[in-house]
Amino acid sequence: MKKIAIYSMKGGVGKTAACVNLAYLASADGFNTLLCDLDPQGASTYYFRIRASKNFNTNKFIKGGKYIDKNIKGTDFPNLDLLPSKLSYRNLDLALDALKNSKKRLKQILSELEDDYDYLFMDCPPGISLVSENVFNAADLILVPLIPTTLSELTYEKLLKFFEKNDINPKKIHTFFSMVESRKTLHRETMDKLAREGGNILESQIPYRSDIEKMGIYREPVPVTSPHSDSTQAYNKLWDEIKAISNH
Amino acid sequence: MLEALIQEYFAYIKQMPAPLEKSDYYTLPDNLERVELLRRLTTDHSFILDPPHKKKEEFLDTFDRRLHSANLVLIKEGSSYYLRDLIQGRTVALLEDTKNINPKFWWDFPKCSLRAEIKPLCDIRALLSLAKIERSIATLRLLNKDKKTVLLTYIKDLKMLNSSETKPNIVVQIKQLRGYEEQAGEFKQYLNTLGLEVTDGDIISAAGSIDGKYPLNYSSKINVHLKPGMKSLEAAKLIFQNLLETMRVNEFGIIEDIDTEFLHDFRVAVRRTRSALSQIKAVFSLEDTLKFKDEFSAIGKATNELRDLDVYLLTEDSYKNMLPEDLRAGLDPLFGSLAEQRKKAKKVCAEFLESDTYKESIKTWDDFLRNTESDPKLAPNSERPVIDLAKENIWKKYSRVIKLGRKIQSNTPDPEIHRLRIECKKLRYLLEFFSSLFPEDDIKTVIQHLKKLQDNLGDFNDLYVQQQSLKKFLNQTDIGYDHSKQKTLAAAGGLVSVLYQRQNNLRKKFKENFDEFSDKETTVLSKKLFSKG
Repeated sequence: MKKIAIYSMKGGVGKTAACVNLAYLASADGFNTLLCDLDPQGASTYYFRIRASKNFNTNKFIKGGKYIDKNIKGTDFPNLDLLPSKLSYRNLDLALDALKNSKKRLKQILSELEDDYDYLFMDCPPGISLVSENVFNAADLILVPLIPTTLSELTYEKLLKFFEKNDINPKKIHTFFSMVESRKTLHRETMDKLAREGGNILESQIPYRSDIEKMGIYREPVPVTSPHSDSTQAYNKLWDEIKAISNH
Repeated sequence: MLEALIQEYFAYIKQMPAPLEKSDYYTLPDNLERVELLRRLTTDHSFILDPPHKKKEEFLDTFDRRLHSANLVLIKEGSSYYLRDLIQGRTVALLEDTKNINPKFWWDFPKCSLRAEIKPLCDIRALLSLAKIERSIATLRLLNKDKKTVLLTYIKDLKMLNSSETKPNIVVQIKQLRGYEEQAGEFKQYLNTLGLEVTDGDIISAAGSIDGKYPLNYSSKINVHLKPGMKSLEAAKLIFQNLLETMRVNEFGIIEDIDTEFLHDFRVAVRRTRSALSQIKAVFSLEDTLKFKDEFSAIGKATNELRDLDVYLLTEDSYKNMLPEDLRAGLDPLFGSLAEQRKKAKKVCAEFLESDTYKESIKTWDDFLRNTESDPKLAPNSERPVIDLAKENIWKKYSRVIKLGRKIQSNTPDPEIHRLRIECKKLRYLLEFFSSLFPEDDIKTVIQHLKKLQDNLGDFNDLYVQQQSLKKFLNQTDIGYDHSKQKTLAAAGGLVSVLYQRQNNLRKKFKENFDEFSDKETTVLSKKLFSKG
C-alpha cells in the first residue's frame, strides 16, 4: 500500500480538490484506494456525500483496528472507500500528545490497512502540528500544492526546514503548482524561479478553473462531472506522474 | 435434454466458492416480470436508473477445467481477456485489445502476465470456448437524503448464446456498500416481501457449459462407487461403462485435433478396458471376453501411430534443451519429418473413429454391457461378491510385483525391468478399479508408493524407447546431404548419449523407490487390505 499525503501548511491551495480527484483517478485505474480524511473541516467527506457515524470520534480513530474498519465507507465509485473525518478531529493533536509513541501512532494505525488497499490518500489539515508530523512519518509521499506566489514560496521553505530539524526524509516531498493562472506575471515568474532553484517539482500543473471550484456544488470528483475538461486532463497527468513515482 | 443440462449446470455452480465482494443474489418468482419489478422498485424507493448496458462474454477453459480447478476463470470480452480469481472476485491478469489473435494454447498469447499465469495450468491442453453469455444489465442506485448511493441493485438478464434456451434468466444482484449495511438489510427485507428468492450466485461467475459436448466434471480417472457385496458382474459392468464413457467424450477432440490429451485419455481408457478384461477374470464367458479383447486391441492399434508421433513431437523442446545451441537446428529435419507423418496419421486415426467398424464395435460393447446377465456356468466369478474377487486379484498381482522387484540388481537386463513395469501397471489399474471398496486413506497410501515406483520405471522405459527410435530414425530416414546431414547426425548422436546417461542414473534410483514400496508399512497395510488373512 502506497501512502500519499496531500499536505499544505497554508489553507485554500486546492489541497482537498487534489486529494479527491487523485484518489478517484487511482480507483478508476483499478487500484483499491482509501481516502483518509484527516481534516476536521471534512471537505473530502462532504464531496463524497458521506457522513461519519454518530459514535465515531478522535479517540476511536486513535485506537485504530476494528474502530477504523467499522467506520470506513464505500463511495459511489468502485474501488474507492473513504474514512470520514469528524469535527472532533480538531482535538487530534491533544489526543496524540497523550500517547507514548505520539509521533508515529498514525503510521501504526495505517499499517493495519496494508493488505486492504493499493493506495491510501490522506487529506491533511493545514498548519504544522503533531498531526502533520504523524502524517510526515506515515506517508511514503508528501504532495504539496503550491500557488505560485511569494507567500507560498516562503511556507515551502519553512516546511523544508522543519523536515531538516526533525530528521524526516525531505525526499518524500513533491510539490506541484496549483490554482495556476498563467495570465498572471507573478505566477509565471514564481514558477520559473522555483524551477531554477530545483526541489522536487512535478511537471503537471493544476490550473485555476471554475469546474474545480464547483466541486462543492456537484459533490463529485471533477473527472466525473466534466470528464473532457482541461482540469480533468491536468489531474490525469498529475496522477500519471505520481503513479510513476510510487512505482506501480 | 437441455432442461436437464441446465439443472446440472446450476447444481455445478452451487459448488462454486462465493466471491469476496458482498453481494446477494435473488431470482424472481414466476408471477413477477422484469418490467414489473423495475416499476415496483422505482416507485417504492428513491432509485436512480443508470443507462443499461449489454455485455457479451465468452468463457474459456481446457476440456478438463484446469483453470476452474485452480479457482480461475478466463473471460473473453470483445478483444480483451480477463483472468479472474473466483474466490477473491478480483482480476488476476488482464490482456487488452488483442486484435488478430485467436489463441488456442497458452503459447498463442503474446508474452504477458496472463500468459504466465495460465501456462503452468493449461500446459499442453487447448482452450475451448465453453460458453458464450450475453448479459443485459440495468443498474439502480438507492440514494439517501444526501443523494449518496447507499446500495447498488443490478438487474441482469442472462442469455446463453450457444443454446436454444429462450426462457429469460433474471438475476437480481444486491451489492451493499461498505458502511451502509443497515440500509442494505432493510432493502433485502423489502425484496422478500416481493417474493424474490435468494440464490447462490450469478451464473456469470462460473465457467461452465450447457453444451452437451463438454461434460461438466470431466476427469480421466475411474469414477465408480462399488459396494463390497455387489455381484462381481455388476461391479465389472460399472467399471467398463465408466471407461466407455471416457472414450466417448474424448472422440470429438481427437477427430477435431484439439489437443493431444484427448487421444491420450482415450487410449488410457482403452488400455484400462483391455487390462480389466484380462484381470477381472471369469465375470463374462470366456468367448465374450476373448472377442472384446480382440476388439479393443484393434482400437488400441489403430491409434498407436498417432500417439507415438504425438509423444515424439512433444519432446522437441526438451530434446533441444539437452543439446548445445549450435547443434539444436540439426534436429529440425527430424521433427519436420515427424510433423509430416503426424498429419497423415491424424487423418487415418480420425477416419477410423468415424468408421462403421469402430462405431459397430462400440455399439456392440455398449449393448453387451447393458444386457448381459450372470451365468455361473460359463462365467464362474460373475455372482461372487466383488470384494472377494478384488482382494484375490490384487493380492496375487501385488505378490508378483514384490517377487519380481526383489530380483532386480544393478545389472538386470532392460527387458526384465520392462516386465516389472508392466506388472506394476496392471496392479495400479486393479487398485484403481476397486479403490472404492477400501478405506480411502489406506488405498491412497498404497497407490502413492506404487506411483513413485512406476514413475521411475516409466521414465526408465521412455528413455530406452527414445534411444531406440532415434537410432531407427537415423537408419531409415533420408535426412539430406552434406553439411546439414552431419549436423543432424551429431545432434541425434548427442541425444542418444544424454538419454543413455539418464537411463543409467534412473537404474540407480530404482532400489530406493522399490524399497519404499516394499517397506514394512506398505506390506503390512497391503496384507491387511488384500490378503485373505
